[in-house]
Amino acid sequence: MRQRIAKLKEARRALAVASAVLFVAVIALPVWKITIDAPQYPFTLVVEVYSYPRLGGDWQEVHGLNRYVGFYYPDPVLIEPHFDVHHTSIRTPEWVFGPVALAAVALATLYAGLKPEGSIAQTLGRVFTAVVVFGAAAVAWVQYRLYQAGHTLDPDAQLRGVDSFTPPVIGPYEVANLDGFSQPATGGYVALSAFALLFFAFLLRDTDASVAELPRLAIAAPGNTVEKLKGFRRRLSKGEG
Amino acid sequence: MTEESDYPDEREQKPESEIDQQSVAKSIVEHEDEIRTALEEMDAEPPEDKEVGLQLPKLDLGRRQFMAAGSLGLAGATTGCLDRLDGDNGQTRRGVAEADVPPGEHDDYYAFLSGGHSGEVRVYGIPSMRQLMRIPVFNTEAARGYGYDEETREMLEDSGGYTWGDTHHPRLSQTDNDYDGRFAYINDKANGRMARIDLEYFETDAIVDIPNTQGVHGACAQLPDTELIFGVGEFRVPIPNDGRDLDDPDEYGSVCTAIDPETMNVEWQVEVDGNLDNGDGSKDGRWFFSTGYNDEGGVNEAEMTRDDRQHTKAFDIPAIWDAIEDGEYEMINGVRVLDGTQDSPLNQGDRPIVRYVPTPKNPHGVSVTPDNKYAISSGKLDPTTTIIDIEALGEVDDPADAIVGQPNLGIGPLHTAYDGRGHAYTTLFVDSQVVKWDIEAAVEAYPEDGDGDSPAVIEKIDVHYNPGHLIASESYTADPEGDWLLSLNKLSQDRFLPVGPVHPENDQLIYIGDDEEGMQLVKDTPAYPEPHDASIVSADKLNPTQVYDREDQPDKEYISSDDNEIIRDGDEVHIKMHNQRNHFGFEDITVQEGDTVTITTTNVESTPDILHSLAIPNYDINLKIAPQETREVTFEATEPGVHWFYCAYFCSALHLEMRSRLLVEPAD
Repeated sequence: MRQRIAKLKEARRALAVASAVLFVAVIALPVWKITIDAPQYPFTLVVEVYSYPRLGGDWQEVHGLNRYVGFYYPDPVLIEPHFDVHHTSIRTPEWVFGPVALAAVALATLYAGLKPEGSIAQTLGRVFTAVVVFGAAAVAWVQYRLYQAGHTLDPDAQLRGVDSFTPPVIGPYEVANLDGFSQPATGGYVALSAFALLFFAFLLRDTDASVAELPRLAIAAPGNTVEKLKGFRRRLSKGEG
Repeated sequence: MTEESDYPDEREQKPESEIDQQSVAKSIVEHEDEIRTALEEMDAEPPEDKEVGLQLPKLDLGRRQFMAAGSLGLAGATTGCLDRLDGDNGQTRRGVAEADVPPGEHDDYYAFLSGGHSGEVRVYGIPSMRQLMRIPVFNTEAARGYGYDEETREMLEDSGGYTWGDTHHPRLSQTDNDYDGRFAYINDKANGRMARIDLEYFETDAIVDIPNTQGVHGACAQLPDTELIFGVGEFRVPIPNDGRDLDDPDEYGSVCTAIDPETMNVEWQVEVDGNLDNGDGSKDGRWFFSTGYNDEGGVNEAEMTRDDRQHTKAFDIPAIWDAIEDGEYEMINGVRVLDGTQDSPLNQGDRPIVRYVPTPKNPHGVSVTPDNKYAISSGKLDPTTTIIDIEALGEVDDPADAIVGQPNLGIGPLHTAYDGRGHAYTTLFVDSQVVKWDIEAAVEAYPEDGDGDSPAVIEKIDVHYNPGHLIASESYTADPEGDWLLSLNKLSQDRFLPVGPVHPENDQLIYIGDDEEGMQLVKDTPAYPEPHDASIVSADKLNPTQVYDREDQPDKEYISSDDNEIIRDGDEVHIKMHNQRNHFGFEDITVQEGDTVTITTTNVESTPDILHSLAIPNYDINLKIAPQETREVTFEATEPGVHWFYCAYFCSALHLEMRSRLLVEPAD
């Protein structure tokens, strides 16, 4: 046991464990938010979205605005949410599994970080690849859902004359007189940080350098990269020759 | 003195119908004739009251000066203020630039103006003079649901059940001689009450109906920390006023009332000789000063103006508490009443509870200088103000010896405000002017020898017309700001588009921030009848809330959208429902004719400025419900039929659709 803890001084392991902790922390935080500016509000409205069916910020106020145009919060189907849903809401049962996915990623990361010397590099590589693929898929899926929501406006909406729209995962959009901007919330930034830590663990997967050595490695990194490029060019020119 | 004579007073003459320019001029001429006649009578009968050894410098005022004053008043009446706005060289004067508050910008100050017999208090922004809000106090007001829900209805009912009041002197609570943003206090001259306004919500939260008094006029907080609120009795009545001594005015009395600012209970009253008019307190909390215009104990105008001087009363608050501790009071109508008349044993020792400072004549306004050195009492019917040295007042044997100045300012001095730079600004009711003068210069010039303005006078500015109170920014604190002065003029005459016989008053904003350039009139503001006094407080000293805090309504049941229910108990029906954009908790409510219906409703919104109301027109109900606020109303369902109830606040695009039905089934 003591040996294992001692091994956590290895940067790749420490980074992986820290990454796992952060991935778990994301569950407690809003991961994504939309800020909305409208002429009738002197302040910016914000709707925060968690990895499970929960909304924060001015979700009630925004719900009132959404109702005008027949745009409703998604229906998580499997549970009764704290916000109003509508029979025209898009159905997003997968929303309840957000924390499960995050926990799985955290577990996998932790598992990789604790692997024995012989297999840690390979496992870190696999987990990192999986997280990249999985994360990209998740973002794509959310974007699809946003498209779906923006194109499933209630035909019986109170206010007429509002066209379908697609909020981006990150970026600005407009609907009626509202200027929306969607972006990561606190949890989103924590998730990105966790991903970054995992990435660094992945980069350091072949070395047992300790955390204390990280600064030296970081300083040497650009030089190493240059050396590698030089070596690559040498090899290229040899090949030509 | 003629029968029609009309002395300047806060209950001033109102213009009669069919006013035109000619009759305006005529009425002013008549008015000043009356004053002249009155003062000539004084000339004819010099004061005999020698024992107080007072100089009455203006009583031998020459006719020439009266003529000058009269023509000055007329000149003011005809020239208007355009020439002042433009300035001498056509350039915009500094005051005009300073007074500009562009759209979307906020004012530097809140001004709280009384609303007179409208019964309310108004809130203005200074220097824009924009009316920000009206706070109903002694009146009912549908737009704020005031007097229409159980809580406010009961408050008005418990304080006498009157439908109106007459507010005069809004004073704000202070801590350490500075505004603390907690409460405003306001008197009801009509029905002898005092009310408190919560400055977090800008709502009246307490009213006390004061016994043993009629016409509670002056109002003031004990400084420096608002330990008491004083209200003074203007109309002398029998105490208690239960039918005794009905036509025996000698037995009538006036009391000064002290109220606990937290509980709003009456702590004690002190009966005085004569009456009480206007008041202000010393900054150290020892003294409360009040003028009075009826030492004669008269019951008609002639009697009330007979004597050449009345007394400014100085109540010694610690001495009063000592007397109470010694049991020197009588319980009348549940209140400890102390005898503060001049012959009272409580006034015989070396620490009298009330000191009587002789002041010419029918003094009206009294205010304490920011440095707490002087109380300045204005003569009203004498051209002087009387400067009382506060420290000396506690030391001299004869209170008259505490008088250290008596500058001759002009005709009809009423109220005085301060800029914190040693200047005083006094309204001259008859002259229709505000005079700026130097306080220490007036003290140095004492005693003044008669004719003409005091050497302390710096300048005068015409105001339009007949100013009552005036107030400078933070003038009632120890540290006035010295930039703005508000002259609350009783008549507007020709200053605004005519709107029928009832003219608006004219509240004029004067810039006083530049002693070199002098006072600059920058704005006329029409006011609904009728503001008397005001307090001006820096905006950053108030912190009003935008949304109700549920914890501030501990006795109200918060009704969320999950709590909607109708509970029937016999013929009593309790409806609990929330309200929000754009609906009430129930689309329809069915009750029986004869039911007693209680509706408790909560506005569940948390967005500022999204107010709803519950208007049930056929039952004379309109509740205002601010975000997170809960209100309740009870009524008898006497009218069978369909009664739409609706939200009377334009809350959203679906405001009109925010309505439900009250179905009252006919009794069998």
